[in-house]
Amino acid sequence: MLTYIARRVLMMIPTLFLISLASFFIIQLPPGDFLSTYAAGMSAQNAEVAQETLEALEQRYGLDQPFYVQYWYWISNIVCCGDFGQSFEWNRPVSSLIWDRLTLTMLLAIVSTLFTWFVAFLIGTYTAVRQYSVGDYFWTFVGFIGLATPNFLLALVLMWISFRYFGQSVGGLFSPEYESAPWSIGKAVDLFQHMWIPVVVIATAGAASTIRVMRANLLDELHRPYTTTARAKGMQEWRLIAKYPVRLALNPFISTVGWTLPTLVSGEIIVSVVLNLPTTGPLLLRSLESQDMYLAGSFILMLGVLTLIGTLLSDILLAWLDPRIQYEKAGSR
Amino acid sequence: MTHVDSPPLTGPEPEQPATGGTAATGATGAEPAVDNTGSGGRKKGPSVYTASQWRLMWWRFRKHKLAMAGAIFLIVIYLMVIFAEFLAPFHPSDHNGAYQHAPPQRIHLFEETDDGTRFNPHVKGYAYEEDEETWRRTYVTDEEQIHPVGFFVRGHEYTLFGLFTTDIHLFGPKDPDAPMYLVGADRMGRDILSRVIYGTRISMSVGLVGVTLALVLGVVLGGVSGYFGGWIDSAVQRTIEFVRSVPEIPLWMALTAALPRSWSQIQVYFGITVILSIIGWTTLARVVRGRFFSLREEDFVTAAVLDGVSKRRVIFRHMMPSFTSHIIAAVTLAIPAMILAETALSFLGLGLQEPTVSWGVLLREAQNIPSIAHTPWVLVVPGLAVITTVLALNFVGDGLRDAADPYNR
Amino acid sequence: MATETVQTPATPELAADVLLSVRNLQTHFPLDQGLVKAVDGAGFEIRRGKTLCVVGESGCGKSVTARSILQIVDRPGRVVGGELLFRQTPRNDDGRPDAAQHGQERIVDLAKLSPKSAAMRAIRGRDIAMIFQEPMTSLSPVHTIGNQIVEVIHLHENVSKKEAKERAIEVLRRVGVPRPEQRFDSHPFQLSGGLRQRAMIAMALVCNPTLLIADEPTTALDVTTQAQILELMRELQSDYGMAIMFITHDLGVVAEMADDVAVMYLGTVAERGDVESVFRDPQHPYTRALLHSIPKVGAAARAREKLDTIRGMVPDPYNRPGGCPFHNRCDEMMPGVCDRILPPPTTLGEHREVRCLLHDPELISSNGGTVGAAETEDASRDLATEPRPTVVPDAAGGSTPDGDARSTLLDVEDLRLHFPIRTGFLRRTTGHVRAVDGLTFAISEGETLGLVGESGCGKTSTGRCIVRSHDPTGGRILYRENGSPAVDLAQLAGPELKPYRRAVRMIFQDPHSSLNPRMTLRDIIGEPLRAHGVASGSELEDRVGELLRDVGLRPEYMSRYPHAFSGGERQRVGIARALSLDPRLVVADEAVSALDVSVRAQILNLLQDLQAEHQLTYLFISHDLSVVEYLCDRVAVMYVGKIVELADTATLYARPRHPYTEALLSAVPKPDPRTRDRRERIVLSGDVADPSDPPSGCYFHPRCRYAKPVCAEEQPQLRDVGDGTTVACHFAEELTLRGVADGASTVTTTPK
Repeated sequence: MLTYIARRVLMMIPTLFLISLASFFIIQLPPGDFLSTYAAGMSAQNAEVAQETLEALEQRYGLDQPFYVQYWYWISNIVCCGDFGQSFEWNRPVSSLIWDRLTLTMLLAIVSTLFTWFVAFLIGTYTAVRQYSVGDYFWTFVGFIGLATPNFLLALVLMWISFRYFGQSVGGLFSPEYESAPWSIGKAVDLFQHMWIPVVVIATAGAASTIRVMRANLLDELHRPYTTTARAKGMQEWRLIAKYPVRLALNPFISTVGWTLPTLVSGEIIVSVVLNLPTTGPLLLRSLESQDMYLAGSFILMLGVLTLIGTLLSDILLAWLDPRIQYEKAGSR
Repeated sequence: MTHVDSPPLTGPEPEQPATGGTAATGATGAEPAVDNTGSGGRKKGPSVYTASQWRLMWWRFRKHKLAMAGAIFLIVIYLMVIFAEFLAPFHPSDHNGAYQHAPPQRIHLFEETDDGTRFNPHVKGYAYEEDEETWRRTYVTDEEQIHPVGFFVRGHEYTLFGLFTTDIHLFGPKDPDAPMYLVGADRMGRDILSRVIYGTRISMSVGLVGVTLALVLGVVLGGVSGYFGGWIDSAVQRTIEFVRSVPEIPLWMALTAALPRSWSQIQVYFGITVILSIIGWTTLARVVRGRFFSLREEDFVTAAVLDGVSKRRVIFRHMMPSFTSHIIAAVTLAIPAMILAETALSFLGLGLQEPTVSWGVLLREAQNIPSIAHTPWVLVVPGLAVITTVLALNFVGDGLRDAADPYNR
Repeated sequence: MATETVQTPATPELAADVLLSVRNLQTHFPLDQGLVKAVDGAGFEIRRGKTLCVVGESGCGKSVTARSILQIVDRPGRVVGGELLFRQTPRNDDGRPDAAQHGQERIVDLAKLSPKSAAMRAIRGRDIAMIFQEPMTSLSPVHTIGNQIVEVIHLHENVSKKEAKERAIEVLRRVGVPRPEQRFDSHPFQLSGGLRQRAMIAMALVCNPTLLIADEPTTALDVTTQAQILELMRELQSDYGMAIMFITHDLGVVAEMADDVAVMYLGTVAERGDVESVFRDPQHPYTRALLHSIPKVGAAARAREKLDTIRGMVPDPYNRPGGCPFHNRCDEMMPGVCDRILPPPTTLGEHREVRCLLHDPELISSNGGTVGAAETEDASRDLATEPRPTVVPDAAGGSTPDGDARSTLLDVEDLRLHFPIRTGFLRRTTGHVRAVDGLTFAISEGETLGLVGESGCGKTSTGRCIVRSHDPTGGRILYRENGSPAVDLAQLAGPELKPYRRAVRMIFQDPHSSLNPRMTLRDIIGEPLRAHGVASGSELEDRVGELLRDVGLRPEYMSRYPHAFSGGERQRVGIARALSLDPRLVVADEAVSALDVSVRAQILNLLQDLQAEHQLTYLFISHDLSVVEYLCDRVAVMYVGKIVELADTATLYARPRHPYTEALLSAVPKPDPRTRDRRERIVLSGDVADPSDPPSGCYFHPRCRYAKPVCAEEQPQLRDVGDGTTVACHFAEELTLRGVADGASTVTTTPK
């Protein structure tokens, strides 16, 4: 198991490198560089930008150097000092802006993942065991609709409904009194009270596809010979289904988290813009609109990294659940 | 020893009178023989013997009712793309301050006049009151105003396919200036129906163009990967894994935000399709590569090599037909993702902008919830267009995928 | 688990020695395409402590019958009629067989129980247990062996966890699983096929069932492993005193295992009776045909008799013929009778029953003359003596085994094929799988060389090297044609190979995957002609038509796609493709292994006819020793990438020189129940050596019962020991090994 994890972590390194490279590439994309934009911003405010400051910054980020040197400055600052650069729009270090929001984003993504699993597992199992029943058709149809509805549209509809019929706005993650309050039990409770709408919205698209995965897998497994074996042992039908086919269908189901997590994070970005949540989405959008590229790049880097870690965790979980994976991949030949 | 229980789709031993039907696996396996082609119980004539893969696929696809319904729906949608000018009663930017946020109208078929009821399809005009404080208008139907509507009416002029200029529209008010808002008007008094019809053109073509680009990338890279194997394959595989492990929306957002502001809408449009296909190709490349690998191991490909067939012909004559159907299915399933992505980006304001009309641009109008509460059609109509189209594409894609391999058991 | 047994109102009658009586069983599958009567009026009896073998071709309802007994037929199938009278042993409160109530068995009609009822569940796994064909897929891959066995105990008996575990380990030990304490915690994928099947058997036996249903339990196993499992089942049967219902398609296995036989055809039992009389004196035309269509190992005469075949194939389930289900394939069909009347079961004696109108007493009395005549004529067709048409052995190309004059067509020298094993993060090559490891043999023009061995011994890789779909790692493949200088095929690449691709052709095992489903027969068979520029246009069509005729298909079929054909017909198409370029050498890789018995006989006959007609040379790769003996002039036995023995067929089968050959021959089930008790069987222990890490010295020594210290140190080389035999064994001259040709009569001396 340990060798498997080690291998898996090792294999992550090139991907991490690629992600950082891609993020830096994005930073470099807009015409001009960060400094000229910064200077332009400063002069727009009629403030005198000291030549020394500019030069100091140029030195620090190696802006007069070729791409790879700049990248080196940028990434080494991040790795060694946690310095993500400067947000010119906020005139603050990027690291002071992103962590709160990233934490909330990941929290939302994780809760949504769990919710997705829970819903998809229940409905997927139900529809597979009761194949061709009315319930199966109903949920399959709901699943299709969920697949076809963009997240933000669902968010809009939910907001509209709650505004129309309950007369309240559902945006945000905190009640106003907790908005800027320090963390407390009350704030946490408040967070969970607000969180369910974004969670439901984000989870819908993921759940729709995951239900289909679960249903298809379970249908496969239900016809496997070992199910017949279990039946021939005299097991009760529901116990048998729970112990064998469901257990086996769980493996591909869990491995789907590898690809649902990026989708869920993506969904979270858009939904949080619509619902105006204090997470990554709105700030990322704004930084992109105003070309605050260090901020945007850092967000993209960190989202990528966190997603990667999530995928890693799901792989480890899978290896733990399915002994065959360790056996095959850890090279026990 | 594995016992392949000889299941012909239909067909007798030569010495035996024709039996037709399907395999005799009934009692060997856990499951009795289930129809192999979808043609079994229905077609018994010799035609099934000589049916090519496309015909078998069509037979199977035809049994998939949702997919058939989806296919018909899609044909209608793509006709809309082609004939948008003719189908839409108004130009998408025709606005009229007098009818801001006008609600949907009903079409009345008969007119009550003094001499009795007479057939005269029409819509009724609006009257409104404006709230002094909120400036919000409340519309009521003005029973007195009657605006006859009809087919093939004259409206604004347009050029169809850049070939001929006309002003005939499929339907509309007989008086081009009369208000007709069958599904309501937006905040500038533009006809939402016309805008959705025009939006179809952009949204659906983004899907098609994006998928075409993705297909080219996917087939080339997937094919190269599958054909050469070795380190090239590993490199392509790692790239695919990398692209798929990154959340796509932030990436798309960043890339679209980086499109130069000075670009024209048409440039932005192509920029967006390129960006969408940068991520979309991975799915297709995986399909191509996966099929390539599994086919390479098939005995019939080995047999072709042993027959002395040239490498090129092995690929194009013996392997290609087996995966074109799978690629078509995968492409159909990739289009919705493109459409949804464009919609999302435009919705966020990063993609296409006014005056270009796409479903995403239309939905951007629906961001203000309090106003949506009073004018739900601004949200509902383009929303429904997105959902039904994506649904139809998914149905068709599923149907195609099930039919893609009519020979599997 | 407490169980209440549903008593049928009037306790049905059951003869004292009968454990299970199946009467007029009907199991139907209502499908979209129509009603499939998978089992349609089957009836037989299983005696206490005896083995009933149910035999028949695929699609005859054997498995569904077995599943019907336990009411575990897959949806939408259902038992819709008939009786399944089972004598249930009384159990005490803990679920164990109750000795105190001995003799007070209850008789339960299983067909009346609901599939999900507690009473039915109590019987499954406890009174009646079942094992399946593929132990890999029949065991859950993510649960340990122990978990799956203990589960059965807990389901049916009231025992502590500890006790259950002890019992599971005890049973594992009993079925011959080495180190059962450790295996208890193993997952199925960590065990070999044979061990998995043993674990499966342990799971079935753990609650002491009175009936064990075994559904093709050895079909997926190698012949040596099959022998182990069969041996084990015989032992266990006498230990546990249980009855076995053994489903198989292999008449050899039937002859080895059965006390009673039931021959099934299209959901009914065509004939049943004790094994001895069914084999000696088969009464149903189907039984007779089945028995005639198998080649027998050690058949006394090496005359190339043509096999009898059964016309056509098993009809598909939607189109069952009316009247007698077999009438359209029956040689003795009486028009106007057999196609109209469904034959009733006719009792012929104790335990003996046949469903054939030829035996119907009423028909015989009314229509006496003809029917009676047919019957007597049939009865005289005794298996062993019956003369059958022979393929002229000394026709062109002559097949006399000692034709030394024939020129060598192919010389394989030191052929090697190694696959690198890459492990670790950097995919470094850490070893090699030696699939083929220094193979040397020659094939003469016009002969048929058989290549046999267990799975994984490198047979297929050898074939693929010779047709050059694999690139050999080393060695030479010298091809000579008509005295022209030898060409080393192993050195050629790309276009240089093309001329030889015409001369060396291949027939594949799987007739489904070897024909491109998207091409018509014209394109499939015509492709080699086109590729070599031999023919095109209408000429090509004529040639394809000719080839189709050659293999027994109609030329009109050429515009059809493969899906229009059955497995046997597809194999004919594959043969036509192989012949299209007038090849010299045809490599047939398990060409008949995937086919049913009757179809297999048709294809074997075809291969022989074609050989005579086209002067072909065959390299016939097979794991089936009886087929190889039937078809081949010489046989090479492979073990872990090497040839261990190569000899004329008759010599090899009569007097093997390598212990491995002896063990293989001994493991083949002989379709003759009379010899089974007199034969001493050699049961090989363990599994085939791992070709990436073979043992030192002679690869076979860990499994060899004659092994001496030198065997572990020194690798024996192939050497000529006379009789045209080459063998790789240190003691080839000293050992007197037992063959099969002379049956069990030879007394053997075993060294050590």
